[in-house]
Amino acid sequence: MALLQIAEPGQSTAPHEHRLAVGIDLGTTHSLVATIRSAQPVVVRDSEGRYLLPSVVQYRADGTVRVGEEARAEAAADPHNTIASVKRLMGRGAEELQTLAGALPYRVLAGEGMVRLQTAQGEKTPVEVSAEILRVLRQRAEESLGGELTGAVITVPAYFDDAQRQATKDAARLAGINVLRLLAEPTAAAVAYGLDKGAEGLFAIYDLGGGTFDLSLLRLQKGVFEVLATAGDAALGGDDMDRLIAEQILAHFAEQGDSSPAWHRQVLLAARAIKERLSSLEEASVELVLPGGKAVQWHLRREQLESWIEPVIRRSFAPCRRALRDAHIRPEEIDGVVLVGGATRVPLLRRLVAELFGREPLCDIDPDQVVALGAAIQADALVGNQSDDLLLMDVLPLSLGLETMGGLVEKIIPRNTPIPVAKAQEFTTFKDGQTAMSIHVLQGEREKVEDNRSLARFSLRGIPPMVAGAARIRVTFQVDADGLLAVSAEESSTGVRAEVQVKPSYGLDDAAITRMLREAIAHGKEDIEQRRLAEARVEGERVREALDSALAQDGSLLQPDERARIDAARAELLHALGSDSAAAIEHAAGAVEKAAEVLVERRMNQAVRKAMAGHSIDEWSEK
Amino acid sequence: MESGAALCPQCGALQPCDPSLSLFAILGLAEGFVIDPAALRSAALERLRAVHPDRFAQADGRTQRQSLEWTTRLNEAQAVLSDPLRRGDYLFSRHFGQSALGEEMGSLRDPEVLMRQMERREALEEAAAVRDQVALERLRAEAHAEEKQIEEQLAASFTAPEAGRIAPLLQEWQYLRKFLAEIDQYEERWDFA
Repeated sequence: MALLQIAEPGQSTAPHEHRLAVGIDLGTTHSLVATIRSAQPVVVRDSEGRYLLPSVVQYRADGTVRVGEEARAEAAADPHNTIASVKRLMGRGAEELQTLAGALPYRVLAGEGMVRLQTAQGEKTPVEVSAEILRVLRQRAEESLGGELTGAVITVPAYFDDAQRQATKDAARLAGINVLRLLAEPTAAAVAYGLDKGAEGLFAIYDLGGGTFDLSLLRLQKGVFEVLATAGDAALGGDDMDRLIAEQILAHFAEQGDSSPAWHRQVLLAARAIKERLSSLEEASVELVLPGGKAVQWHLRREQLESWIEPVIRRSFAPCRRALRDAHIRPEEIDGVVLVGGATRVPLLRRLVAELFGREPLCDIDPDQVVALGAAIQADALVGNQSDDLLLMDVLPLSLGLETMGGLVEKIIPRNTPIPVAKAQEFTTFKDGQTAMSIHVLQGEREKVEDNRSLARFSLRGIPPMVAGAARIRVTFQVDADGLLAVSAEESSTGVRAEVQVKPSYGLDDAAITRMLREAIAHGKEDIEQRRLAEARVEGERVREALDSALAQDGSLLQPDERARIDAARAELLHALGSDSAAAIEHAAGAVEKAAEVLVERRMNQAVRKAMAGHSIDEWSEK
Repeated sequence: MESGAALCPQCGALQPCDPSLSLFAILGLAEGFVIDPAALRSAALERLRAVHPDRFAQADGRTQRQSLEWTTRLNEAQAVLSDPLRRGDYLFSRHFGQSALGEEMGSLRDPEVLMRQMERREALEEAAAVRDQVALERLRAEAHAEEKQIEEQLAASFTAPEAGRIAPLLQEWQYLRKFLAEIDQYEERWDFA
């Protein structure tokens, strides 16, 4: 391999080291990880061959955490501690949860800032829950690739705002992942299509995931992926279809059902199952166990299902038209429509999207995999494994603005501006001798402050005292390639650098992240301690059993004092096995083995004698 | 460093971004109102490939910051120069020291132009009141046609720039842009209602 490598100009001439990089699709219902193998993007599977990891985390009362299939199986039985669809909560505040469609079965703690959930293991933020999912994917990747990851590209809905992106990045940090880039999901899908299928021209990527909807318009041209406009709905997804179906089931069984979270969970799972079955069948049924214990079949025809879910699909069309308007593109100019996300398997959706854009959508690449595959391609490029030039140019999905007089928002960077982007704005003081001022940063398209997302409030201090209006404070807003905002400020007339204190409205500050990291590491130590204890117990038990059977057979070979020493060591071991100390068990087991050496030796001699009985030494030595 | 070269020609290392370079210079384009969109795009892409943060994902903090600055500046250059209105106003400020669209320059005074804008706005409100999509499309097409005319007049005016001739054209165009944005807003509101 190394012999075939030729250094490109401008690249390192050192022998090319292949770095392990992955793409992670952290989804509402499923998550997965992909990488590049033999120049091909592939999904990474677990030991049982599965690649979709259900995005479900269960915090068990015994202190263990289950993630994925095992956690999902417990969802109905343990609804308060089993967190599903956590992506919908990322970067959000408790007061926003009412506006998120549907009731959540979790115990949400009241309070300002980021949502916190009460679980059997205490308070958990969505960032911590997501970190558990990412940790499993990281482990899966490292086991499969046989080494430590250099970094990962993590995908986010294009329409995620700053707080949601920051929360995603924080979750990765908590999971010990080096984030190379946050990549918009539709852009990732476009990369997979552009490179694998050789797509060129103007493309619409229609991405309906479990809980988010994105529509991105891209120009694809020989390795250049340029987002022209993006629009979406961060609270619209396949889950909404499931919920509408579930409402119908609940209404149907209103008399036999109850309001328990377990029954609701069961109905929701049944709703999803029947939606999936009706994607290929004209009619289907699911079995439900009523709260009374009676099992029933619930039957549904595709037509009926379609009439229920059509409103969800129609809701996605307004953002589609908005993106077309923003990019100044007519539907007929589009060269192709790509479908992404499991929810786009619904036949009605394919029909309606085809009508909207006037062409049959593409779905050659598995809609569940395409985002992770595209992210893997970019990750590989970012760590320098590829020499072909890939250029991804994305946009800011939602306008950034500042609060002005009267609770209104003044836009400073409009939506669909290519990123990275920076904008400087001048502010002045309105009172004589004013030395501080506070600034409120918002994201969204609405006019009033309360209708937009509050990103951060910060204060500028250390402004030199001057008459009102004389100070010139230049505040710079910089959005980086991940779509994340940073703010800095300077007093222009004196050059004094004003101090900026950003208080994220829904994010975690650095102190909180550090604390969580510390806890995660401490928890990691606990895990190791637990494993050592379990192993010591198994070994201790093995030693005890071996001793007992040896004593039962050949105890007569021992002198009384030898026997007493062994019995004492055995009693020590039994005592240690009852404790929680791995070290004590290991020590006692070692003592038993030492005390029993004499027995082992005598048994060996006896066995040899038995084997040799009736034979002469010469006979043996000739063999 | 000349003509805004981002990479050292000898070692290929990223150089600091010089903020005094004009948006034209940073793209290696001749300064002027008339521009070839294809040349602008290829100049921007070529430079973005060299400096984009994706090329420096593993680099040290300083290099990453420089890459961010370059890319930000190139994005700005592309955004401003690819839009003839913003390009015109940028050129205006290069010639006359300030934007033609800021408060200092005042606003449109030509009564004929003002009358046209008022009539246009009335037509929009009428069409919006009854959600007349066809009328909206017609108003949009008319505004686009006027944009084209202004662009031609500007191209002629910039051959011998005079603030008194250019500023009103840019201001009128700005009106048209606001008008077009309002059409979009109506459509968006209907869509999301």
